[in-house]
Amino acid sequence: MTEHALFHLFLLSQILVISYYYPNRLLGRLNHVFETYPPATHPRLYPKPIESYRTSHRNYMIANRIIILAGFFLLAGLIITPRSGDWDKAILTWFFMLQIVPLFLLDLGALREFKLMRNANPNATRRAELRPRHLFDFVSPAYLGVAIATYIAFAAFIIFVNQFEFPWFGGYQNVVGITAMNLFFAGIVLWNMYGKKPNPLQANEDRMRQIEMSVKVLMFTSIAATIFISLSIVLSAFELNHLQAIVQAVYFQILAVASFQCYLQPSTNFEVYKDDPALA
Amino acid sequence: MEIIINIDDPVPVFSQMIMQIKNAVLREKVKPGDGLPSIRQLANDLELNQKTVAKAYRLLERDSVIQTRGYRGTFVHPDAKENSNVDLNEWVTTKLSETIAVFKESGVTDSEIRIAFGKLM
Repeated sequence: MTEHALFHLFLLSQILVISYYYPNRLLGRLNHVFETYPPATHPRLYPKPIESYRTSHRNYMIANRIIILAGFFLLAGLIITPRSGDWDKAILTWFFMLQIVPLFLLDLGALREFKLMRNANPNATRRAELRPRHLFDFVSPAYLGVAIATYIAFAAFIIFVNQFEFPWFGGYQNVVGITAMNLFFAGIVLWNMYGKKPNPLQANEDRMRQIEMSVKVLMFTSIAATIFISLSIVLSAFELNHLQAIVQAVYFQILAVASFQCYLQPSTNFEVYKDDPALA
Repeated sequence: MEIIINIDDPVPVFSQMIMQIKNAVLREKVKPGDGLPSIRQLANDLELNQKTVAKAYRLLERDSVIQTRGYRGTFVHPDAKENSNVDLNEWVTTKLSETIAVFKESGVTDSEIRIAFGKLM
């Protein structure tokens, strides 16, 4: 009974944190940019009429409101419906995936925006910093050490648990999965550090800060995912499956909070978006 | 230290890069032993073909302004400052002008010089 109540509380928190609090903060930040750096003074920031941005932000807000409503219906349904813990996990996963769809669409919109920006501002003059970018410019060796130690500890943990031959245990597939995830993240880090910058007008200092935030969030996600899977295995091994959904709800919220940090990272140099012939 | 290139400039992009890196060395904006961005990083930042950046780096390495240390990357050469003053293009032009002047004094025509040059190159 207590676990069910706790689960409902965490689900409520998941609804509010991912679909209400952070989307509101994000929209607040975007409105602040509109008001402080309007098209009149910063035309290069807006390759489309400002109304189209307001429409897409309104759509983002409406999508989140619909998800909140769906979440409340789901929560009410779960409170009155008796079910097993496995169902809780599945429902939570699907609902989380639904919650991140608006953010994903907003992200896709931003990529299209950068393409328009590139086309609208053909620039014969190009700039680059004459210094190499290294991983340790963005994260401390200690942080990387913690991520590597977590991965090694996880592999050792899987080898240890594998001795007990639990019927539900995926064995080394867990290590393969985490390795694949880390390789995927490493690819994104490399792309961020050495690939073309998505925003063609972005100032170097803003780009460096954005790379730093992405690298830190990806490493944090890697550590969090590894700990989450380890914890799930421990809970299964000690037959505490009824706590799995609660742990999962906490994990999803941690992931969402970390991801939103990338979007809430403030830019500092908006001079590059001014219609200044000297910059063109 | 920022490198700025203009793709509409009549000076080839790789020459602009070479000149700016040499200037950076001469003005001590970069010092011997300082790391330089990889070819890939610089090409992506400047939105250029990697071959263009590779050509600039190759010529700078030939002039001993930079040096590549295997997988560790590219660095400013210890004698970069002295070597940045050497302009091989100017040296070739001066030498050829002197040689052509000697030919002309001997009565060799322009077309004969061109034919001889064509045979050799």
